[in-house]
Amino acid sequence: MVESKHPWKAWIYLLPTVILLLIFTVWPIINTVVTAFIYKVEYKPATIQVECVGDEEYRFFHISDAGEKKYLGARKLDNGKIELQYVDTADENGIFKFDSELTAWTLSVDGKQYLFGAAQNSDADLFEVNDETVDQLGLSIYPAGLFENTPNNLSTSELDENAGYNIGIFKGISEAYRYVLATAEDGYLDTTDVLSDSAQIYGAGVKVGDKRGYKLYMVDEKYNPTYYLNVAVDENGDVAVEYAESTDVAFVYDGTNSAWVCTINDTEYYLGLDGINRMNVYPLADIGAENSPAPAVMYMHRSEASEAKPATSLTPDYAYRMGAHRTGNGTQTYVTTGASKTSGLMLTEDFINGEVFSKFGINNFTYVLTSKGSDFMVCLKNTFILTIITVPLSTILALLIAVALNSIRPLQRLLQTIFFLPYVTNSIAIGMVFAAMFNIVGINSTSESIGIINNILSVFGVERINWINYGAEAWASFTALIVYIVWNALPFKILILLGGLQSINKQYYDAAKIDSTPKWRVLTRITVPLLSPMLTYTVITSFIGGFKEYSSVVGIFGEQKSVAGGANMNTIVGHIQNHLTKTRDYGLAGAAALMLFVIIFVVTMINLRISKKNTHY
Amino acid sequence: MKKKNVNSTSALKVMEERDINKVSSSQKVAKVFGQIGVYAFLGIMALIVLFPFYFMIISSLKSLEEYRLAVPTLIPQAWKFQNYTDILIPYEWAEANGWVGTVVSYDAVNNNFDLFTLFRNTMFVGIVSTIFSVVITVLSAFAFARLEFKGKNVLFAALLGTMMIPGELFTITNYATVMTKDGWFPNFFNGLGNMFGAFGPDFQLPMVDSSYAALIIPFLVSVFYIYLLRQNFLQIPNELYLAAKVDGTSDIKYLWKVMIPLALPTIISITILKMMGAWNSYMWPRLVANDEAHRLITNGLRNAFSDVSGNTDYPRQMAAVALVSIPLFLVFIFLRKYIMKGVSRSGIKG
Repeated sequence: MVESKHPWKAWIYLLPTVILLLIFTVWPIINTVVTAFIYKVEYKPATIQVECVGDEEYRFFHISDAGEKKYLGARKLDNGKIELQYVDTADENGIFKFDSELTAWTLSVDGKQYLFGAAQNSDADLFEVNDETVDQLGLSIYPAGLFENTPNNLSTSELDENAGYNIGIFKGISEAYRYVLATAEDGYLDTTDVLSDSAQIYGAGVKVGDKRGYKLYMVDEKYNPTYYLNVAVDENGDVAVEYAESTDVAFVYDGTNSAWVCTINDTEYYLGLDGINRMNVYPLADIGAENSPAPAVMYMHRSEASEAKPATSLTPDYAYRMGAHRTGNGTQTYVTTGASKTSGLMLTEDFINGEVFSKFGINNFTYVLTSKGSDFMVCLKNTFILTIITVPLSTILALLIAVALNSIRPLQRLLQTIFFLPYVTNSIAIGMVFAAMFNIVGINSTSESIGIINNILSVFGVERINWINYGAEAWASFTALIVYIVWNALPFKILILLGGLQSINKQYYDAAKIDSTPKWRVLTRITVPLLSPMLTYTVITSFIGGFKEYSSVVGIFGEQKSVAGGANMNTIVGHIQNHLTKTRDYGLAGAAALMLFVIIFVVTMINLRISKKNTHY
Repeated sequence: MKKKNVNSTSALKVMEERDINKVSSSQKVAKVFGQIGVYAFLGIMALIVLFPFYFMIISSLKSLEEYRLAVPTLIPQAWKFQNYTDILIPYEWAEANGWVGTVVSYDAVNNNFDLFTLFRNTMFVGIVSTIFSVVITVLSAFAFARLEFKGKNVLFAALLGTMMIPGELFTITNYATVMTKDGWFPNFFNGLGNMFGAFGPDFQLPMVDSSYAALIIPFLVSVFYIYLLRQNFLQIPNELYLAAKVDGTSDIKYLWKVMIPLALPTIISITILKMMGAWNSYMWPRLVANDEAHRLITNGLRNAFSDVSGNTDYPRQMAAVALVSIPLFLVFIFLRKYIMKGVSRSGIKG
């Protein structure tokens, strides 16, 4: 070869190839592989229902789209960690109790108490109850609350205003809530039933004696504490609620009285609302007495003012949404299920319904392999069955035909052409011919065609078989498909094998003739070994082709790729196609394609390994 | 001296063959029976191979009533050529000439097979993609076979490497870029199409239609054909190239005057296989051009002649299948040598 004066000239010749390959092969391959690992999560809020299972004992469950009842509960992981998951059965680890001290739902596993909540910037989880978590409670660990199931009525803006605890009084279903209103200017804490005017009171977990309590505070738009709910004591010893820049007063939620209680100078006071809905503290001893102000109860959350319920007045068998407040970044987190991809427990960042998010992980693969909505395993099984049967069958048949063709002189060219004819056909078109041949026109009538194949078989006394019509059995449908695939695969193999046979040195056969070796021995001892490179080639290519079988299925069974009332005849490539055209999920398609590539690669490697031992070059 | 040697060996061979062919009469009988057995086997297999074609032809010439008979007729009782003319002749045309009921019948269950449009689309896509593909293949094969440049071996290995990867892996992304409305591909070609609007409001190059572009462009490069042609180019003695260089012939002229004529059989094989591939393609066109205006013939065929309830007008369907198959058979009959050679070398369909 000559050293060109202008080496760059070669690139001009290669330019179209390189550009097209980069755009339509290299980049797509990289992109598809990456896409395969990006899975979509469709957040579909799960409606969590509550059932009462005992004294103050509740179970939360969710009924999935498939009608399965999934219980929320703790699952022990292999590393000993406890995680919040859906548990199959409602066992001990699924019994929640409302801890009014923590104002959170808890459950105990192996004697340890766990709190159901969400840490900042993470999913819902269970937290072991200890000093550390309790200190964080309300600050960076947000206990999960219960919400009424009216997701569609809620807008995000409403929710943003409502992030946090509302302290107010519950006046019953027909009446509106009253919420603490920030009226710091006149020194009074008023209440209002206009929700948008209400201030949210947040609680920061602190220790009050041997109990846990909260410093209650308001926040600005950035969720930084602005004013704390303080209790001032004047010279007369009278106590009054005020907003202050800081406070030493911590409130404890008293579950029995459904009231917020603080201790000032060894006296217990509760937050209550007077006749004109001003909030103040009153001695706890007076609670429930006539004319004494109603206690301000803590609501975990509310969805509709008229339907919200205090955390302690849960009705069993009522549908709730569960979630945790996450106020740090201004969004809320709710327990939901990722409906399409995962059966596990997910938290969404917001109160969204049906929105799709992309995440990185292997979920596409697990979905394709294990999900009930994915027929990949059926397709894989179908493809395996087809390949395992058609490859040896067509290879042996092609070998016999090629050997026979090679041993004759007259008519050889004509027969060779005939045997090659199926190659120059449109596999969809001829598939339709096969479908017509196997098809029974009148399934129940005796005066109509039972299909030409059944006609031929009836000559040999075979009862008519329902091959591909409604309700056909799987073996019959597969037989029809296999017949077509073998018919279609023969010409290429015959051509290659005959070419190989014609290049074998005649002397081997002459030697065999002199020894009068039997024909069968000649075939197995001379022809096959000398033909082994060609055989290897055809077997490998047909294995690859077998795993990519697609158009023959469409040809016979149509684009639905299944028999009505019968077997699903789809193959892996068909499965990928369905993802492209039906689910429109390229990640799933990519995952399936990647697995197909791995299968083909492994099978080819096995083929090469086996043939290396048996091939004679 | 050498010549004599060759003669003596061939003479030896003839003698050997004579010895081998000296067989007893019983062996002769066995051989005859063996030959009969071989012919019988091949005959039966040939019948099996040909049977679907026979079934296709006879079914396509039957009336639906005859097709549905419980005992099938081996040859149509009444030859119904209208199955073909119904497909070939558009209804308006037939009506204008007063052919309805005579030349054409038009009693199809559902005649949704617009052969003319399908044929035109397929031929357009096939011819354009084949021309571009062959040009690209020849240029690349030449560069790999004759030119010397940095990174040649690496590039060639990378090219062959892409062959190992199943097409589905890049089809997915190609489909995503081609199909999505805000993808760059349709936007680019629609923009290109709008540029031609300057020639008049109705002026539009068909090639610039993004559906045709989607059918043609992503599969223009066939690495295997580049490999095949490169191997063929390598067989042409390098001395020719050196001589041409000495004479000051340019690379492109040498390629045109020497390489292409010498490698013509392979190029013809590639052309035919590429055309056949376009004719038979199903998967990709189904994804990107599954609308009335752009559908290709195989896609149009699959759903034709069956109505919603699943009743299929089999004779007409078989006629359509025959019409789709006949061009392939014609090509095969006239270009058998190239096809079989191309297939045995390339080992891929289309």
